[in-house]
Amino acid sequence: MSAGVFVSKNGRVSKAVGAQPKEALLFAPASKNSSQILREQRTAMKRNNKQIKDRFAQATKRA
Amino acid sequence: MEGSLLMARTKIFISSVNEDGLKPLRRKVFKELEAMGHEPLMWEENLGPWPAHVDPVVRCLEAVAECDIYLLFIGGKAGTYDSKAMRTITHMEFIKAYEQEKTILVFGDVEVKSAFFGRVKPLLDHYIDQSIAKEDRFPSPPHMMEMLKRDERVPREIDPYVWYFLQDMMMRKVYIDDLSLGVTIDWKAYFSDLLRRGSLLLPLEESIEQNAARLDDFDAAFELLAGLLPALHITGLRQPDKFLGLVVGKLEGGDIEQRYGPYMSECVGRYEDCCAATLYVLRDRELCLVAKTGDAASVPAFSLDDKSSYAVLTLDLGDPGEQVFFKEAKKMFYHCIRSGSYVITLHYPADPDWNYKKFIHYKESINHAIMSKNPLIIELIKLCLGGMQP
Repeated sequence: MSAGVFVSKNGRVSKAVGAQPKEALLFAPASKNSSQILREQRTAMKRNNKQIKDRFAQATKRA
Repeated sequence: MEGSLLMARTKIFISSVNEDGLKPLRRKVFKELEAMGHEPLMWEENLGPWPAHVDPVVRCLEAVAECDIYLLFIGGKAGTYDSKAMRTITHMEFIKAYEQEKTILVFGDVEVKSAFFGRVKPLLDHYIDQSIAKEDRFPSPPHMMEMLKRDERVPREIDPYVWYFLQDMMMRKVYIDDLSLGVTIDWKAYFSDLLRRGSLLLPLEESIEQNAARLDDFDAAFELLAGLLPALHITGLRQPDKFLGLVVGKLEGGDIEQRYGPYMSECVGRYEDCCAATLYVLRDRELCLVAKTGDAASVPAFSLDDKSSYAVLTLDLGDPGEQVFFKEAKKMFYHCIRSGSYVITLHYPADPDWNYKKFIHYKESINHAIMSKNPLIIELIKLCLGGMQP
């Protein structure tokens, strides 16, 4: 499904154009799903963890 | 004396535009920091000039990377502008220090600061908001400078790039201290405060390293779980209501933030903690209700042709599939996840001011806010349901 906003009205799905009734079910395909976001968060967590260890090693190093 | 020779000294990179007003200050600071036992680095004193084959910009950026503290003075001049980078050399040094997570100390001329916060920043903020609303993107530095050059309220004697540089610091949440030429900065007090802050954190080294190690352990355990679950044949749900109840109790709401580039964001709304959930399973060309919790509608079964159902629409996405839906009449966001033959829907109440227009405007931010809030729990749900035999 291409990018944009879609609407389900009366059992039919179409691009959401113009005013929408309150009962309309709206949705927009996401560029990333939660699995991809989790992978990114875990990568960032590992990088931060490594940086903390590296910084402490630098901070306690003498000359 | 021998002991002190073995100690690593604090390297402080002194950065500023090479303008006349700041030259005596730079020299004085260099001498003072050196006398205090630190190791200041500065172009005129101990960094340049280099042989012709050495790119001075590259060397300066390397020196920033080597330093412990990045010290910047800002006056009314912007310095050398690199048209390819669309940044000045000084700005690039600042970005390098920021990117390398150095301790950054910035001192800005009080008159420049006063003009920035009093007159220029409101103009820039307005221009940025307008550009985002019209073109859906952050304006480039040349566009911002052009706008400022045209505006008569902006002081002429200050290079326009200086305003952009200060704006960038604000977006990165870097504090700018006052610099009054002729007024001495108490460096001893300044560095004593830095020592105090470091001294509070250094004794926590062992605790922080233990926590970092435990985090690695938890991550390894999750990795193993993610590998093991698809290898299992799970025969079903013993207590589906309890399964949903436990899931719902763990999923928190949060802010919906619209991001404008890497450094700026705006909170455009909120969604509440998960309040209800349904679980459907694909059986004989129908989606059949397995369990529900909270105040969720309980249609016993949906035909696969019923495209008014978010569960059916999510099933159509394939396996695995995931989608956030919104219904204004219910003021509710629905996070639907398909894994295997199951579709789980998590209900998050939206703030009262959410309507179809706001959903269309902030669709990407809503998707990201809901999907990025509890991704570890969502992944576990996917793994459990995906391994289950209906």
